[in-house]
Amino acid sequence: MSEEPKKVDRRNFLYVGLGAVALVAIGAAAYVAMNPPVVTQTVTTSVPTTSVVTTTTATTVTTATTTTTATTITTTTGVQKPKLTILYMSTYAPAINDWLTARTLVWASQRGVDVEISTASYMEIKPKILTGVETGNPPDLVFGGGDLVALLAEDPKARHIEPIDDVYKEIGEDDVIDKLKKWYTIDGKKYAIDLALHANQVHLIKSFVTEVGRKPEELVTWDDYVEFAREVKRRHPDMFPIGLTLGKCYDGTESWYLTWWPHGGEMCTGRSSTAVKFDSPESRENLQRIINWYNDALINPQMLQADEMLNNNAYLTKSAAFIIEGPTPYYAAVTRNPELAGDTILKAPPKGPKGTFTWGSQWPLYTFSASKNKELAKDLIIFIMKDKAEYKKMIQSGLMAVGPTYKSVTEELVKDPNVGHLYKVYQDILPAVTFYSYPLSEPCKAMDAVQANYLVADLFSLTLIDKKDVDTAVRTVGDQIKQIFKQTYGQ
Amino acid sequence: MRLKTREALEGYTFSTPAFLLLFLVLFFPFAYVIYISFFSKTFGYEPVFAGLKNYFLIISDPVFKYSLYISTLYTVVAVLFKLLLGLAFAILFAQEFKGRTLVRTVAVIPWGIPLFVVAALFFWFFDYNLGLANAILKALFGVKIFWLGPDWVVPSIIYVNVWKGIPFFMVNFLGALQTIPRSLYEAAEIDGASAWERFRHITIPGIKYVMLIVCLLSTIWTFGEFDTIFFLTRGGPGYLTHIVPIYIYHQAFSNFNVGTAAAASVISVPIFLALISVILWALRR
Amino acid sequence: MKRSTSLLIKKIAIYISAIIVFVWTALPLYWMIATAFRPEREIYEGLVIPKQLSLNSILAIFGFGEEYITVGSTITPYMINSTYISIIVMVVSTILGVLGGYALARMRFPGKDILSSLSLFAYVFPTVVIMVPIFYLFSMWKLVNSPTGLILALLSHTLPYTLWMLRGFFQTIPVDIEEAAFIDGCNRIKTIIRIVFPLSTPGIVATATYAFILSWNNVLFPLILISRTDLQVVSIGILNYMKADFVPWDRLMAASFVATLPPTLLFFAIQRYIVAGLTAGAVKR
Repeated sequence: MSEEPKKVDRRNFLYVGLGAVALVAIGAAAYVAMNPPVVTQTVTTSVPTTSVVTTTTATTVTTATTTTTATTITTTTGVQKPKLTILYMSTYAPAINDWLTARTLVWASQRGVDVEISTASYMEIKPKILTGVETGNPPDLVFGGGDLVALLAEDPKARHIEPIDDVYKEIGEDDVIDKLKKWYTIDGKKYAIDLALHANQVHLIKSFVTEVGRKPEELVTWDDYVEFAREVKRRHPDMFPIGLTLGKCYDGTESWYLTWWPHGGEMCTGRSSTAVKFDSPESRENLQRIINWYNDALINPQMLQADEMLNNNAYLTKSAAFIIEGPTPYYAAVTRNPELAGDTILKAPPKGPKGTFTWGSQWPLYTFSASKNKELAKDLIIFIMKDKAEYKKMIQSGLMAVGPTYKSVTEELVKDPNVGHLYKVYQDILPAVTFYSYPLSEPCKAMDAVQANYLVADLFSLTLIDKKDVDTAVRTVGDQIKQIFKQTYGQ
Repeated sequence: MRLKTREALEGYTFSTPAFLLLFLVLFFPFAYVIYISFFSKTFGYEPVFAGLKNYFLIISDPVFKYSLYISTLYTVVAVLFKLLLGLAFAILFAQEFKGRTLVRTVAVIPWGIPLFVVAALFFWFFDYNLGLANAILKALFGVKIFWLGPDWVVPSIIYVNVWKGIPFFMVNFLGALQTIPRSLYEAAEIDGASAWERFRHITIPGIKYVMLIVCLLSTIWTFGEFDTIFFLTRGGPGYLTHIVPIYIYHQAFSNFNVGTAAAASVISVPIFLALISVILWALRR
Repeated sequence: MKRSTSLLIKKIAIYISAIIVFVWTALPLYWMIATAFRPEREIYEGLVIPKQLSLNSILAIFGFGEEYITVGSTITPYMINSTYISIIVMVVSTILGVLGGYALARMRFPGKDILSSLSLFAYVFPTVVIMVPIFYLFSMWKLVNSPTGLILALLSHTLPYTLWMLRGFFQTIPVDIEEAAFIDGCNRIKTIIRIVFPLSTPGIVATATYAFILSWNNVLFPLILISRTDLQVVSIGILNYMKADFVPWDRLMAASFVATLPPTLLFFAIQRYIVAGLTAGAVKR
């Protein structure tokens, strides 16, 4: 305790100091080099988006090269110039983000506008948008946060999102897939437009199917899939064949809906707490079904973590025999593990007694009424969406991660000799795409709140972690949902 | 007389910039959190005065009760392990052996590593399929466990905290051990005291004071720790690792209940204040 | 004979414990390094010991040799931002800390004891408590998404530390030297520059370095205050790797390794001093 600090060799500390100063100098120099503090700012961007499109057979590899022209933007901050703040969701297909950024920069240079692009992951974008609105300082343009549109646009007293019917008119309203339009139509006005459709598909690893002596085509219903999973489990006791996320996160809610809808589950039929149909025998049955799978060790206990990447990683490391996801894990496989991609088949989600249903997460673009630059933002949306040739390039660079918003582009892609069959899957499952307010299937503020809080995913933690019985869990969550409807609609 | 005034003036001039800044970024926000804890703030609407409503909401929230419980458990167990292992490590390094410098240097590394890296590291270390932890378990005992699954997540996060926190205890203890005069041990040995007796009557009293301070500091930091758990589990699975800081974060940034988040912060303050005053008292002794 | 056997047993026990300590600490670290420096393909084979070494992952996180780069997926801008922010925080908190710490250590003025206690209080106080008000106040003051805001918030964390530590260091300088300088006709400023500064350079450098480390390691403030990718710091960069759609383990570990180097190396350079200052500075009141 009584050590005298002065005894320590002072020279050592001078060296440390010099080291720190050197670090300072390097850092400062690098910073200055990266952000020249001058009145005239020159941003040179060159975003070559080269993407390899691999077909599932993995033998025929076609290369579609998308090159976005290098753009040089010279902006002068001395002059009064509008500045657009943009918040983009970072998608799981980096090429799509690259395309979006590149197009935005091209637009900015053509219009002579400053842009400030922020990105946020799926998980972080919602708080970012909401706090922006909350503090009266929303971004000028948002891409992502699909389950916020009704939350921010439905209440006539607090309509934060700007309607964009004029944008739809400009880009050709009729070509947009009707289902997607309907999802953003509130009181006759459209509030957002989807950049693309991210519809869930089964990622089925073929080698497991052949191993148990079956054919991929034979797997159609949930019963087929579960039987298949049990077979796999028998051969690989170490494996957890069903890749369903059960955590309190976006994917956890997907797991619920994808098993619930086919077995007759329904959320609400209208906008009042009496129209909420959640507390039903179907919900109890479905919860029990998933608990059984979990108890039979078909689902990995780690899946209870609130983590979107768990099932994707399970697929990529082949520790699950199938997962149901928007095809972004497939994109990851194509880019990083082509053998796995070649061993994968994408299919419509398992069928139940009530038919086939799939989850469609929305990737909307929208702007806010409070934004000073909303006209510019609309112009940017038009620029991004109108040029269909460019748009098609984006969809292709996403390697099947997303399907097009346009009917015409879908048609064109389906006819493509190399990748056509993959987009055919998209076209085929389009009728099955369902939104979380099913069977109301309209934008609904209360449902947005339910979804934003991942309420249905609580079912899993209530039963599997807190060991509540199925009845209590369904009732608890059902009451919470009703409560939210009551708060929102007053009845 | 004039000299005194002059010195006082100088003192204020010197300390004003620092404390002014601290006031702005620390003391004022601290006061502000108490203020907003009395307001109900729902999304999109102006704050409304709500009296003690937020506090009642918080106290009746089972999740908050669980948060307090799990935070306490986490802190007490982690600090206890850090204390015991830190002491054991320190006693080991007080001995002479070949390679001591090397092992000691390695043992101190976790202290220097940022918490966010520790979290990333263990996220990968604990991976069910490919992580080293399970590879070792599989090789030694033929089992794999779900480190971050419901059954093991609490021991796992305690393990991470202990791994990261031991060096802080160890290094401080080692410093304190070196101040105990060797002659005391020699005298005790001549008197025929056993190793345990020497430890009990010489070592412990010699480092008692450092032990107290180190434990208190570590208790405060462990209780207020946010980084590793946020990175590793985000409070999950379910609410199993929903410690108080995570609860506050979720209230404020996922549920947008600023008022309840503030109330939760304020409720946890007395705990910290009590610990801090013990430290202040100890330091002044 | 008996004595030598017991000595032998003791020796063996020491070596076994040393090995245990070494393995306990080194395993997770080994896992990070082994993952960062091997080809990505090998990771999925579940091998514990790499067959091959590769720099690809390290190069990839800096944006070299990687076909699928996305905006924000290289760690370079994060590293630069972290360095730049941490340096400013370090400089400001050191300058203010030297002034304030000197006043607290040497000058006599009313309220000094309260200010001293406040600085210690602020130092040990967990930042999670002020998370909510910092975010709300800073949104009001338009300090969200700005480096200035982040720097101010980080100062609430580092400044109390530098104040408290430097106060301790200044107290170890004998008063007589300063008084001699006074008698020689030096004024306060001159005395500080000519006498106090040179004598306490090591302490100031060590404290400044630790302030740098503290701000580099912070997670909470960049998490709540910064959303723009071009302003983001390295801790959140690591989080982005962890919360992607799937985790590129090799990239994550490579990025973690790179992000650990600056704070860990600096920490080792000043580690002795930090320990001495923490307890000694405290004890001497």
